[in-house]
Amino acid sequence: MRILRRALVPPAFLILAVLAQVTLVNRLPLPGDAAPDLVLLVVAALAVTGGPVPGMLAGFVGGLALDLAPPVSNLAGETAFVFCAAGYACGALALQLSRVGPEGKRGTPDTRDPGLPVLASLPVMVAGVGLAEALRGGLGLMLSDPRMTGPAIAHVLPSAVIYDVLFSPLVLWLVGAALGAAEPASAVLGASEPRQAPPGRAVVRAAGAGGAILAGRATAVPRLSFADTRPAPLRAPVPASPKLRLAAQSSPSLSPTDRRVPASSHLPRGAGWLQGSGGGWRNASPGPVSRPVRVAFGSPSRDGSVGGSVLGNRVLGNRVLGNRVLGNRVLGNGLLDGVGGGFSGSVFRGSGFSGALGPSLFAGPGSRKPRRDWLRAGGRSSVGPLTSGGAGVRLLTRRPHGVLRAPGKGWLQPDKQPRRNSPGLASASPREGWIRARRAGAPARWGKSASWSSGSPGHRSSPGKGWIRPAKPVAPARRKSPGRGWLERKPARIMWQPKTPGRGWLGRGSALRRGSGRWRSGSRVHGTGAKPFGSSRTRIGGRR
Amino acid sequence: MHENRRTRLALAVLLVAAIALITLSYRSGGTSGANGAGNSLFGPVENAAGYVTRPIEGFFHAIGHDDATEIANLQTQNDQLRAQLSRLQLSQSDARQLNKLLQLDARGGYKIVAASVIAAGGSYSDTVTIDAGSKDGIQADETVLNGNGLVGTVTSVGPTTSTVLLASDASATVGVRLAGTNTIGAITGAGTTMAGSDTLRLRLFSASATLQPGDALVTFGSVGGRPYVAGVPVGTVTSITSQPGSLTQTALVTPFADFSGLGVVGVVIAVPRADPRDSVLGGH
Repeated sequence: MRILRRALVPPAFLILAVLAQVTLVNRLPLPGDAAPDLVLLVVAALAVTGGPVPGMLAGFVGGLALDLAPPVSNLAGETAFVFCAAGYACGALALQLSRVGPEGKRGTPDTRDPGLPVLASLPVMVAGVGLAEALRGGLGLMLSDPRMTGPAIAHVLPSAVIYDVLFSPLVLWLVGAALGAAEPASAVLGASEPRQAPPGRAVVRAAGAGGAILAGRATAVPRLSFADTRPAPLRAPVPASPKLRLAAQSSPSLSPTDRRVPASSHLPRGAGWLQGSGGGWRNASPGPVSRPVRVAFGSPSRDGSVGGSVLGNRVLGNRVLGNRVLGNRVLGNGLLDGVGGGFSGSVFRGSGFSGALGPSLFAGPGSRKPRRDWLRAGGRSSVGPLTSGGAGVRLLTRRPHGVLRAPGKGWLQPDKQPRRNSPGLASASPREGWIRARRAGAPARWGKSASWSSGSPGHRSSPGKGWIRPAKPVAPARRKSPGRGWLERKPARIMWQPKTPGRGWLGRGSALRRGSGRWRSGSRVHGTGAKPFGSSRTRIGGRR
Repeated sequence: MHENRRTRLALAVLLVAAIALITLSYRSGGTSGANGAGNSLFGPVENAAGYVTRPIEGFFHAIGHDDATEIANLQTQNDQLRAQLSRLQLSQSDARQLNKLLQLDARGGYKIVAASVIAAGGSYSDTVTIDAGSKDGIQADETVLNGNGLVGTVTSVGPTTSTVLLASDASATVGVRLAGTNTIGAITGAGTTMAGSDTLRLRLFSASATLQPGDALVTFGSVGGRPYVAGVPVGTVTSITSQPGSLTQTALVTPFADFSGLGVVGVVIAVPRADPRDSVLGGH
């Protein structure tokens, strides 16, 4: 449905905009001899919410449609040229502004944040629209269009830009709402559509009402599970070997908020590192480790795009932890909190949840748009992959010195074989808005604390019945489920990277070392090597 | 990096495609197959959309306009013009005499296909789309007028829609004649440059002709009646802008037709057998 919507909404909007423009807006007797350019606004809105590629595609198509729609007077292709450039500019600018941290230097949509907040999107949109209007005037001047003389442009341009600015919030809201409320920006992008096959056998399941992250039949020890190592088409290649880090290796990216974290003894047992890298996530230190559960989403390049990559779109069941869910709701009570009481009241501290956790521009009905940095603290200063986005989500018990409640039954019990086609997992989704960021920027809290709650403090709405049940099976992969045994990784590899280089991998010389000291384990070198790695560490297998 | 490169490559491809389109349509003079394709493609859609948006647009116009002229008669416009023509010819004896002299056979009049404006061009251009096309007998370069006066000329024709270049467009030039005289000149649309689209610029070809505010203008007529037939009222001179000593006289002209509020227009599909001279102008 979401895919459908994503595929249908932009063309529908463009067509509607073209029709409304020529049949209605252009005919309105507006003062100033100008009219808002709806098509341009739609293009800019799509670009801002989607990124450069959707932006320029929409711009070209929309401009071409405007060039061909009957009352056309300019040369065919003029508007397509201008709008295409404007769409790209808007998308690139929005992407630039939403980059996270020193690692997010890539122009891929996946590196985006949950999306620019509206307050930042609007200026980008306005700038792009103004640029497009000016470019159109300049192009007409260049082509010696008799209508677009200097005085005419000087007369029309200001009022046209003003009209565009006036209408841009409306269009942005409409486009955002239609593209799917509360979808993370990465989900809005067709490009970032997570192509990962869900870990068919469940990987993480949390027991309790919320059921949650770790599950599966898997092994007694939750191991690495890569949603996929295959890069999504429009995203930079995902490193074939996500990086694993143990909880013990606390990364320098721990934000100050982590220091307030109670001692590890307060942490729920069975907690481990959940770290995703490039579309994979894993539980690196399984077992009863008294460490904070750290869900580190995202490789350096994809800082914490929880929705798309870390948990996969359909990792747990059908999109249970998909973009929307994680972005908006899953990370709520049920998922990490209501685990049989074990996690109840756990504090979700992100030392850098810098990924697409949040909803994109529009946080959906009733939910507020978290700011860019919600669930992220110190993401920018973080170093390294896990560390790079610093993506750390900590589950901590809320009571500082209270009795630790053991996790509920079945939490992190990988031995159970998930049943397939569980309706509960496949269909049930959390209720609308049952988790939402109340205060951006603050350490995310779950439960009664102020930051995260569904409604009034003190009241938490639990997820709908049956959604992510612990005992429930994980729905089968819908497409391209990994082959058998893909989860079977030796624990030893967890320490470094799942894909251990072959013998002599360091001795092969140039083939393995390219760029500036970049080591790779895969077959290709990603990136140009112009940029050093994360400031303090050498990353292996990572990708920038 | 990898992704960026691909994105930029795609951007470059798209931009080059756009430039190629521009080049193609520029070489073909602006009206090429693209226009025909656009007419066929978007014409029916716009026709349908016009039904939806016309009441809305009419509402907005009704706010500031006297709707009496807008209501004007999709079906009776033809009759109205004919009646007006004959009435003027009959009511004014001198006009009748003039007709007898100058218009040996003026009884032909115009043959008109009525149409509604369904879409309009962008900020810089004064073009509209009407909901009549080649199936209604419309061809390119035919004159478009409404009950008040000259509207423009047809530039491209689709099966069910046509694009009309308004006389107020900056790229439109219409040969005109001062009513009652043989002084000829040309009016050019002011476009969006100044004073809105309600003003045309007149330039008389003769430096010695007398031009006064209030003078009425009719179309001079083109060869074969295309793109402009003769005798259609255009507007009245409002102010003289020529400087003393200039070679030609220039003036600003207020058109009879309201280009910003066009509703029902008529396309002249058959040229009158003789120039109606000023007879059509009588009402103004």
